[in-house]
Amino acid sequence: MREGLTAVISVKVPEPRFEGQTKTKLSNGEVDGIVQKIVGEKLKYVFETDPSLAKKVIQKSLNAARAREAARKARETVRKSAMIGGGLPGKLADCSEKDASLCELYIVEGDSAGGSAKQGRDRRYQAILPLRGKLINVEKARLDKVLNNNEIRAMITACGTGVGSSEGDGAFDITKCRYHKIIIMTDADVDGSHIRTLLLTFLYRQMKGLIDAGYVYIAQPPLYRIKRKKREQYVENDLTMNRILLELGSEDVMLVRTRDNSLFTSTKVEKIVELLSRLDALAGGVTRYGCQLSTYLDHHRGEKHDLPKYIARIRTGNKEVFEFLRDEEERTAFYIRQNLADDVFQVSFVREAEVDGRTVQQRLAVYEIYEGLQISKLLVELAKAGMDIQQFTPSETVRYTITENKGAKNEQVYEMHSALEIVETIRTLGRKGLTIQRYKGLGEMNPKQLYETTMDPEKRRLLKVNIEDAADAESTFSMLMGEDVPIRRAFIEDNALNTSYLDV
Amino acid sequence: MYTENEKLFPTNITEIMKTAYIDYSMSVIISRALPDARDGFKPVQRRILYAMYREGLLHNRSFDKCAGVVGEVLKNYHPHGDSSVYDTLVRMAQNWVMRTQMIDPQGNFGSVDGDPPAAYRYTECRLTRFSEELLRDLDENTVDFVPNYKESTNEPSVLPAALPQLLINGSTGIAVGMTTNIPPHNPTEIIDATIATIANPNISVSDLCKIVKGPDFPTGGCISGRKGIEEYLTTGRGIVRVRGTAHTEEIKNGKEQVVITEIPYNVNRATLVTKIAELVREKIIDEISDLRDESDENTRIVIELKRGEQPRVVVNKLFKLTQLENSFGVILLALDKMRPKQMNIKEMIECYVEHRREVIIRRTEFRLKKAEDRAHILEGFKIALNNLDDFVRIIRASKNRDDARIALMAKYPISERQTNAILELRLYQLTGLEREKIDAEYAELMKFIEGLREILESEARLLEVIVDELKEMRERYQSPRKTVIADAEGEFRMEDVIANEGCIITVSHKGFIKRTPVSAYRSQKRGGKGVMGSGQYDDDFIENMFTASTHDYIMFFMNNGRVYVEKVYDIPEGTRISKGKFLANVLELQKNEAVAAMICVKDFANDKHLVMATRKGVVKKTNIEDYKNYRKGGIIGINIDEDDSLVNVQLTKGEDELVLITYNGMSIRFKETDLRDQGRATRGVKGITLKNEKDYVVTLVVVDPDATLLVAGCKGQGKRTQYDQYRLQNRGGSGIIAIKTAGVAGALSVRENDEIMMFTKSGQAVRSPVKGIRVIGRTTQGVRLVNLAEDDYLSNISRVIEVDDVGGIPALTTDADGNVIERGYTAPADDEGEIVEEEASTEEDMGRETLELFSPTDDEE
Repeated sequence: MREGLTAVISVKVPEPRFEGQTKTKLSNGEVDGIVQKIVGEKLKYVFETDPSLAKKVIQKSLNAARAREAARKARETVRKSAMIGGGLPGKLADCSEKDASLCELYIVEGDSAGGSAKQGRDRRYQAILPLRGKLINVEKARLDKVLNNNEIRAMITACGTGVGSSEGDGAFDITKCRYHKIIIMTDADVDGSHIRTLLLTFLYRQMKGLIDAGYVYIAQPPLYRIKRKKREQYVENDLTMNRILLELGSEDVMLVRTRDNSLFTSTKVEKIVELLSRLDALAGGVTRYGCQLSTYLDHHRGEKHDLPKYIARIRTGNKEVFEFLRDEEERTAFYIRQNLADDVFQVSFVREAEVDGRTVQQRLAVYEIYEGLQISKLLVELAKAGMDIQQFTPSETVRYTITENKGAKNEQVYEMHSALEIVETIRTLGRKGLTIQRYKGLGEMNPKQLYETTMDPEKRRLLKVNIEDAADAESTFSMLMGEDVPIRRAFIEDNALNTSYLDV
Repeated sequence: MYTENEKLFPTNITEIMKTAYIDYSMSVIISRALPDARDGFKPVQRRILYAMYREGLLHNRSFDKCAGVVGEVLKNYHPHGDSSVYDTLVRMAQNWVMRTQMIDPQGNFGSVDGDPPAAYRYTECRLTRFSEELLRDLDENTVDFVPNYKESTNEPSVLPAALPQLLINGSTGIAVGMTTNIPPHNPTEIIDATIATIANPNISVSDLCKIVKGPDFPTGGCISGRKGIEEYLTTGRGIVRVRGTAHTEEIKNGKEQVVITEIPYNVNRATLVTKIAELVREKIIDEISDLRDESDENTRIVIELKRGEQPRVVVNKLFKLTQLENSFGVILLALDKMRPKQMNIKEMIECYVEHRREVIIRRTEFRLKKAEDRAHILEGFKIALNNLDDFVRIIRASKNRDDARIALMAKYPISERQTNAILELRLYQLTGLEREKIDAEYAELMKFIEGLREILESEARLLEVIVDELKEMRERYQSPRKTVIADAEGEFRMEDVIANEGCIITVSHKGFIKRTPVSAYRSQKRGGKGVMGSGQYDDDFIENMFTASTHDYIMFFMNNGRVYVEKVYDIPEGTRISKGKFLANVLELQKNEAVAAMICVKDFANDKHLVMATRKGVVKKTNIEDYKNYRKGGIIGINIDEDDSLVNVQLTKGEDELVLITYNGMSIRFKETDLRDQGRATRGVKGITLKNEKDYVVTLVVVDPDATLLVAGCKGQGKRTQYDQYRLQNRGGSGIIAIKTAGVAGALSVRENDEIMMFTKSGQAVRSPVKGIRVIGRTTQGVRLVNLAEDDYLSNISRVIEVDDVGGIPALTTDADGNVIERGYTAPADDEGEIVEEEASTEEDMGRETLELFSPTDDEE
């Protein structure tokens, strides 16, 4: 018990002696024992009779002790580094530059990537610290455990700033920072994303000064390498990859609407392809329920091309039909028409039905299409770009043609019966003659490749981490990394549809 | 200097965190930790089985190295760590994890003791027949194939799954924000439930519960209680308690040993044994003399008991204190249409049935197309064979193959494919026999096609196919239940674990309570100085004391009329001189509550009543049964007037007579029947009229015709008086004199062989036999009972125990089984010494210790 609790004790002593002029401390030895005994006895009684108070006091002292211990450990970590000739973690490959403002520290996921980075770096100013596996979650773990963690200690020592928010020896001190760029470099897969969140949590909670000072960066290693003949290109994510494929595919092709033989300009083609690919990405919301996207799209209506909000799936025997319900009203009408008492929204309802004199099972369910609004917007834009959006279901006649290498020897014509087929064709064309390598980790790259794509200041694209809204950041960290599961779950459910990609 | 031209992109930390986190969590949810509701596999499991299938590691082929499988999975399908793949493979091969093994292991695949498996360069594996059923028909376009991570090949997005694997083998997975924990079930039961669901799609969940009895763990064991099972089957969430199986064996020297032959699912046997050993070492379970793990492939943990110890008690302790009883929190969560969903058993089965429908339809379509292709060719053959001569002629006349084809197609209505097939006919196939064969094949094919079309057209036929295949699977994989499901044995009773023994409960004025074994107090002669009754704080003294048995209930009546009930064993134990625990640590007391009376009862049977008395003379009678549903936070026992308080409560049998005694020495004796039974929360009626303003009721005593009324004054004097000196009056009067004294400290009903305990304000406690106190008249002062120091006075008296006629030792008899039964078990007394006649405890396990507890130590006499 050293802080946070105060008691007033009145003592009458015949010859008081004090320590120092200000009389801050009574130095009569005999009083000490007596006071201790009485206070001890009485405290024991008080604690005994008021358990909740006792609990609070104990909790308080435990916390204080833990914090003290943690601070001590942190100090030690720093002090050690000062004493033993640098005392830097063995795994750190330091740089030769001594001026901190020029130095960069790469925190790398895993030894496999660490090796590549170490060999590929510019060792004059780039230092590499490989971390093993997933970092401890600072938000959930107790502070003393965190500071005992080897990976954490390695980071603390490497940075040289110390940790925490308290003051005094060993506390965080930005001026001692050994690197003015601390770059988080994780794999471009989902585990890399996770490690990135864990690292940011640690930095935010224990070395917030680094972020405030703008020292923290995130490297963006490529996800794909594409090679066409001699040309090489690196791609950061699936989104760009898709765009590149479509761009490549749209090169040297002619898109013709067969209805009136009108030719789309190349800018139009690009726009159309982009819109269609976005449409493609949203298709899952409809096809998940067994309904063709084209069938759904054909039910747009009005100037804004409003799409049905609900799909009713009715399976009678082995035959399945879909009904498209624009809104709640139509849904209610559907219930009445089908003579349904129960709400079959998102749940199947089974009953018997008569078909050609035979009794078969009939299963009904109504699903909400969350993507409807977004798709409608795309339709509007597609129409603007000059596409026929009346019908998406493939027709007998050829609707569009794509001609590749027009006039050349290897001219080839692709026929399409629906606008939806355009994207796939373009993508296949784009893929032609391409070698695509998908990186599962940084270790997959040669050191030189890693340097060129991710570490070379001329080419790299670093994200500079900053805190725009402190309160927002605070709540984000506690929501994502904290103990409260239901809140996190709600967040995932609300945002799951926005996810940019899923790993295989 | 080095990075001058660099372009930086400022980004908000919140954005980075959110996108990165969502990416990770969705990936973990959708494609890592959770199983698909259709085939019950997580991606890595599916990939392992598919890779093995492609590698040809079938159940009737030879084993091959696991390293090869792991390598293949990593290379083509699963770009993650090798250990995660191998761990999964090993789990699927462990027959104590899977209800039906999915991989046939060769080599060390670990053990129930938690030993790790051998490294994958040593072990070998192949598929089991069961897992081949799950992969069956895979090549007949039954499921969607998707490109692998590097788009070099394809992998199935789901397996055809001829059995409802998810419910049979269960699954566990921790994703982000959600987890799944599906226990294994009995294959026969699950298949039956699936068939029942197909037969009647509107079957109720409770009907399904009748088919699916509950989890069926490969490790056996016993599930106690059906409530948790019903809960998870109907809602998708519930807690199931699984116990290991143990039996008793007798060994040579008359001792007994408990043998554990089955342990609960997911329990590490080695850890369990270590835990038991630890409990023995720490004397928490001290009935055990030896512990051996004799397990080989079957579990056998031998626990030798000390002589005379009860196996039942030990096993109950093990259930309570170790993982021999383990709870399994079921969460039926799986991916349905790529979204995680918590389902009940029916929804889960429906997902599977829907999946099977699709698989069968797609398979039938595939087969139909193949058959029709063949039929098409055969039709061409038939045309050719019917016009054989012409065909031969045309072919012979043609310049080359193409010529022949064109010529044939021009003359006959045959397609190009048919023509090509005809041109490739061999000469021998033109023989008469072969021609018949073609006819026969065609007829056969037509029938086959007919059958396939029927499946596609008629739902009934489709469902029949599904059911037939399920029945075939049931035939092959049926298995008797391994886990027994028993009714809950009610709440686990502490009484089974805690020996029933006598003890003394003391409560101090300030509210410190403790429980001390009876043996801690010695018997002394009258007038002795006594031993320290209790260690307590300086200004505190013992106010209440009574003897009880550990299995009894204590009812605490507060001065404000509230009642708390606790089991005696829940009162913290202390030595004779320990200060005890503050009541607030034992009961959830409200502000300013103090204990007025305590009653010790064995149960809440309705043949007993509680009579309460308040300081102002109000009395009330209530049947004890009304207090049965006590709560931790207390219940109302009597409604007390604002300036009044409860002074005492007595347990009565309905026909008793009661005496109220006041501070000024007045008393009134009345019949219990004068009072009618009232509810708990009532005020009561007048018991005595207090003549003096300052007078108040000290206590309430029940008349015992075989006893005398002992009244003690504050100054340490007291006397015994025959009850017949107190005449019966109507309640409500002002009563008659009971003792001539300045103030009454307490009054008790005592018998000749009783002993009393007298407490003084300074904490002295004197234990004294009643025999030495003279029986004299009502209106006297009495004799000196205790030597009081200056300014000390008597605060309370309490009856200790009734000593049996046979010289102070409760007599023992034996029952038919030869077990010792205690006959005259000392009746517990409440604070004011009222005898409560209790039935003798017949707990067999009370044993000799109790006997010794009650024999008085005579050395002081």
